Amino acid sequence: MAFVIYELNGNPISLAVTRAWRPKIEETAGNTPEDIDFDFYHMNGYTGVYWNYRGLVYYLVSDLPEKVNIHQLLDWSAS
Amino acid sequence: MKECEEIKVLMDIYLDGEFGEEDTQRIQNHLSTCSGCSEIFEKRQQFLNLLKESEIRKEVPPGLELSIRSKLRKTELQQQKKPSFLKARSILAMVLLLAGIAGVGLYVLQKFPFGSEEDADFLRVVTRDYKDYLRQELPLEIQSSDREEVIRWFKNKVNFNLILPSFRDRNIKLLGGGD
Ligand SMILES: [Zn+2]
Repeated sequence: MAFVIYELNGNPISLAVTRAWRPKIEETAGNTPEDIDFDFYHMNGYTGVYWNYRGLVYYLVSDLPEKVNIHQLLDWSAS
Repeated sequence: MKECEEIKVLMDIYLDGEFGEEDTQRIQNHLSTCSGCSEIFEKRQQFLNLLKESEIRKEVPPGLELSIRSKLRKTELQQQKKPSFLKARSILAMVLLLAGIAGVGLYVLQKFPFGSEEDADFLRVVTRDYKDYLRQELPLEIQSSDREEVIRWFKNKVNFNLILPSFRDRNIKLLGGGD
């Protein structure tokens, strides 16, 4: 699993990436950024969002307030 | 490949120690020769161990139960499309799962709160890593704000080609990463 850290005004945001293990994910995963389905979760006081993209699973977690929709700021144009 | 699909379904029952000698042998044989499945198996096993040692989740956020039910329903529908061998096992697994919800709801919420065990497994690990990072117990192995450099660093560290997004908001900066 790749564990990457970003920062927004001093608040760390982590993005963990791993390979999709289920063929189901590969079938239904968004192959274009517009197709991505975001799932939200709460765990141990943190809010997170996870999604599939081109055979990979992404988990984003931060201690930012829920209303900061970081995932909407993702830019895949360089990938 | 077809064998792998079966093994992945049977793995959980195997982990619960509910198989006879023949099935156990078959799974063990497969795991000893298939690195893909054995990797998944190890992750699930780790998850079960993690579950045993982790504290029971006490409060359930509103709406979560509903989302679990809807995910279970989706899973059920998908299972129905599978071949009969799997179907029988899957239905059995589903019945056990539903019985579990009625009986030990909290445990099931703990185990399957996010649609699949793997999701829950990873979310747990990810949240723990994040917490460790905040406590400065998880130093970054590569410190760089250069996306390409970070991707290159991961090249031999992870077994997939990392696709890393950037962020449209220039205030969000890449700090680095680790594996
Ligand atoms: Zn296999």
